[in-house]
Amino acid sequence: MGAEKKNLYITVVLLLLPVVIIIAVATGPVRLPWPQTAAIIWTALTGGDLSRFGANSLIVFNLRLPRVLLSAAVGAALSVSGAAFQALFRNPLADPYVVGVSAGAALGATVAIGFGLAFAGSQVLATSILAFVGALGVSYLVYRISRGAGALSSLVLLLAGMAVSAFLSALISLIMVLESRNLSETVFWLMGGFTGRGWRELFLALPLIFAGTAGLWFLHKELNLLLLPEDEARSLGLNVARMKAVVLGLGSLLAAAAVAVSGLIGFVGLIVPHLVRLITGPDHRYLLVGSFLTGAVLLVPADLIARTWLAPLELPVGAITSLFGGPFFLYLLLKAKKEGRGF
Amino acid sequence: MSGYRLFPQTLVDGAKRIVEIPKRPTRIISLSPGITELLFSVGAGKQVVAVTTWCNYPEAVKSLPKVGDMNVNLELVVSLNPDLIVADGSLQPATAERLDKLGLPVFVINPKDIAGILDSLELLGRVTGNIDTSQDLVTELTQLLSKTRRRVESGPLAEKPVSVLVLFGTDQLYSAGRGTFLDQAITRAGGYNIAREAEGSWPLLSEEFVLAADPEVVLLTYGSPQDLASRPNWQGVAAVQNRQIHSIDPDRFSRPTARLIRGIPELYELFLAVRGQK
Repeated sequence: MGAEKKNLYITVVLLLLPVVIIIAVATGPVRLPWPQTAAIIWTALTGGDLSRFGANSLIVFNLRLPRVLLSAAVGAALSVSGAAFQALFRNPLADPYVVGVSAGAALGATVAIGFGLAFAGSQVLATSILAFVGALGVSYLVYRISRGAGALSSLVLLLAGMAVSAFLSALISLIMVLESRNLSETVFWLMGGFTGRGWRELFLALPLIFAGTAGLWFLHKELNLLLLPEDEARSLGLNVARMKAVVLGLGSLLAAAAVAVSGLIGFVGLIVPHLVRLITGPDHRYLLVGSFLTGAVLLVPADLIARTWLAPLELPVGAITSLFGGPFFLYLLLKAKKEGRGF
Repeated sequence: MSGYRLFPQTLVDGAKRIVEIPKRPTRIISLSPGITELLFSVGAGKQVVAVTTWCNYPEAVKSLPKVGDMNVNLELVVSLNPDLIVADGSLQPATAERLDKLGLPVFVINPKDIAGILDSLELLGRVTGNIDTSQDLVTELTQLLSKTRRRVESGPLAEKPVSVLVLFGTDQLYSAGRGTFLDQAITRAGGYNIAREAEGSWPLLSEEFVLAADPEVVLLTYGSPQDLASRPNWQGVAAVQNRQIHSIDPDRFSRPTARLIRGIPELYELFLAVRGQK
């Protein structure tokens, strides 16, 4: 595949991102004229007086804009994380949740919601923080367990991740049954979504997401080497064990940041890297940038659907991504098979 | 008591099943908090021998044995040797089937709306042999409802109902949708429940929708009014500005009971006061 086509793809998604963001900010359960939406954002950014817009300024600037930007950031984070884990495990089924990030986050969130914990007066904030701690904590635990089994083997990591996840799922079920008053809230969190998320969550997650993405971007050559058989990678001068640990850490950081502010959003981290790989090939120089942008470009409209489809009812965005992502993934899979290409 | 002429009787229950009641039941198990309240209000409280862990009203039920929550422990049920089990529409078909197989008589009471509560009271009065008490109660509540209706229709809320937001908590905006008992009570009290516009019984509302709807009053079940009032972006909402966030008892307004009906005129008074401030 020529570099031109890869660059063209990156350019297209780069241009598409502001377009979907603008459409998403201009659309919502409350219908507002586009010029007013633009005027509100302009006034807010230039520090003008928003009071003449009334509640509409809150709707556009405090509710929609941060939520749309957050959905873009989370889509980007999950996709980059998925791309990194697929390289780390050399397994197309790997996704951001493969080493127990999801189970750890879910346990943290279930504890926060189930027992009604609050941080600085906010249960949403407490849920985010506990989910983040749970996600990173569990992926570190899985890493330590796997290290304990000798040289860090991808297979052991994968299996340890599954075992720890299964154990934590049992704890989650127990908490959900025992604290069943908050069952619907917990279930909604587990399905993933951006309901009620705003600037606070964006500022919490964005630095972590940029740091994780930048870290992996600096390692794009090493990620390419990880795709080789281990002895070959080693002969090319790669410290495979250390590299695995670093990729695991950065990928988990991205996934944990995303999960903490949006719950468990399925499928994005799995299919976006595949989708991008079909166009750009496996070179991480393009794959990481492409995944970052594509994840953002796909999750923004997914959340737009979640908040407008049955408005004023909010749907969990995780249900939307899986609803549309599942069939789309199958289509890609069958098409690739027909054309004799592997994934 | 007109009991001995009444039994044995054959009745159609709320799930359209035909149920034989051979004699006046004296060992009743209630499988829902709403049913428990209904049983006590028709004067069958002394016949109730067990309830669920969620039953908390009236006070007397707290000392009764519990047979589970939404999952009924069949061993406990059987061990209490009941002669009638009263359940509501939430009775799981699997549980109903097993109770049937065990030969335990199940009577389903499933009121769908406020008029249905009156029918249920009447029916429970017949089933438990407390017709006099239940008919007195039904008469009283019917009069209360029609009196409130007249007041609403001829009062200041007839033209423009008070816009109401029900919230279950102050973080996530879960509300009571169209057709729920809370929704019906609000409508009958001269209010307009803004969550009627969302799909589902317990919808999670979009925050921008709530801000645009600008409700005049908030009925809050869990959490403190201060927390809601100090929520960012809500300073301009009419209910926050006019300090019209009121805590209500979720049990009272979500169960199909007599005290729900008695709450309707109270809501009407509240809505009148909300308007009076303007």
